[in-house]
Amino acid sequence: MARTSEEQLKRFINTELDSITPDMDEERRLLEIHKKLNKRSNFMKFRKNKFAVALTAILVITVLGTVTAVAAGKITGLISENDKNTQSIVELRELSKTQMKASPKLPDSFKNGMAFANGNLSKVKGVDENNNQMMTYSEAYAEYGENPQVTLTAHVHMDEISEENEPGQKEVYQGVELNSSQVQYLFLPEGQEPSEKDKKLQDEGKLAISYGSDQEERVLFKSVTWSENGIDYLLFSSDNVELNSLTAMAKEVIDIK
Amino acid sequence: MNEEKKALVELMLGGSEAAFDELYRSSSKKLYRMAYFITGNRSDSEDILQETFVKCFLHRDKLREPERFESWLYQILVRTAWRVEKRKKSRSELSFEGILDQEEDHARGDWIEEDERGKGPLVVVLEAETAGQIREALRKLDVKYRTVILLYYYNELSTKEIARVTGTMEGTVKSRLFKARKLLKGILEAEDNLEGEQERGICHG
Repeated sequence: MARTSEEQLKRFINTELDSITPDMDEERRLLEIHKKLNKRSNFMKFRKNKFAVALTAILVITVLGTVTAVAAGKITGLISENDKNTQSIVELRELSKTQMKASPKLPDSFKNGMAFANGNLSKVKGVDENNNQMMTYSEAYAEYGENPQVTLTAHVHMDEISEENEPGQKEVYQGVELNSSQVQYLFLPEGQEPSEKDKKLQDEGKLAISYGSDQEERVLFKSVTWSENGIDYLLFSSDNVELNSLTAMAKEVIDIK
Repeated sequence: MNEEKKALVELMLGGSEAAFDELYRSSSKKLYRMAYFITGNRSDSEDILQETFVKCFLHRDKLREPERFESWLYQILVRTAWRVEKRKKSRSELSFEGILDQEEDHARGDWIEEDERGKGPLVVVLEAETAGQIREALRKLDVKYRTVILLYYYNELSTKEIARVTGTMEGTVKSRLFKARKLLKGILEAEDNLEGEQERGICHG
């Protein structure tokens, strides 16, 4: 019987493994990896902040179904990359001015006592199904209250990602149309199948299902959207903030001169 | 790690997708083979490999020292592979941790140090008539034993580095390595005995 030494075992393992070739082409796999990254980075970028995570998920889902075809393809996803957070609303306004080339209305605080907590200016990329970048734009994120409770986002209006509003209430205030709605979201880990009951609720438009979270989570999102002076605004919360309170906060933003 | 690779890792840590792509291209084959060694399944290996690189980019801010990139990547791969294996196994799976935590094994794990200095004990531990026997014996090992064998012999990591990658104490790694060799020896000996009996059976039959 041949004696197998340490070196022989090492050689054997190396020879065995080096003879194994993956079935999938290396570049095709890389494409798959980027697709997964696009899908999941929306969650991961703001893992520490549930509200911002939620916002990104909302945008992706909304855009997926509604954007119009552009150039050679169609935008099927949005990826946001944010710079470091700032605790200064003055700095965020300055960043908006230089990078967005616009001055969105970003209040210091609201009458209900919620003050600016932190924010950032994100670079958002719109990509097609093959991960080709189709467009980019900058978006301001500002978070208010403790934990924080409410997020306000603003970006220059772009027809390519014009979003259909969730079915909800419409109201005109100071000549600006406000759309307020609430949606139950179910976040599932990648690959987890929703239950039949949840699928039915999704079909009925009562539940939005999003993938990429670490664990199953149900969140009720309340949001108000409006467009003013060429800037699209979104104010949202998954905290214990009522929809009418959110609408009142949106009106305060509109009142800023 | 050479300077060129270190520069790529630093670029990737800064968010460069091009650098990430280059790092992927330079290591994907090796990582696929590692996943295959652990799982023995092509489809699982493919999933594990993709998941490893997805996690690598998403969690890049967790890597503080660019020099540790490779072992950090191994760490992600190994833990992803273990999760896949765990999911596949039934709940009645035998806990090898319990066996390995026996004091006797920890003490005998010190033999590994002797192995590193010389080639002595392994010659006794590993005997195989054919490559097929080794292959089969490796397949029969539990996933955590196979992982230690992989990282030690294929990736040439020290027991200290293996401990970091697998998230275990160095003593546990030594125990696993010792135990893995012992199990390999047991499997190979059992196969030898079986073959011997079969041969005798044929002669006398």
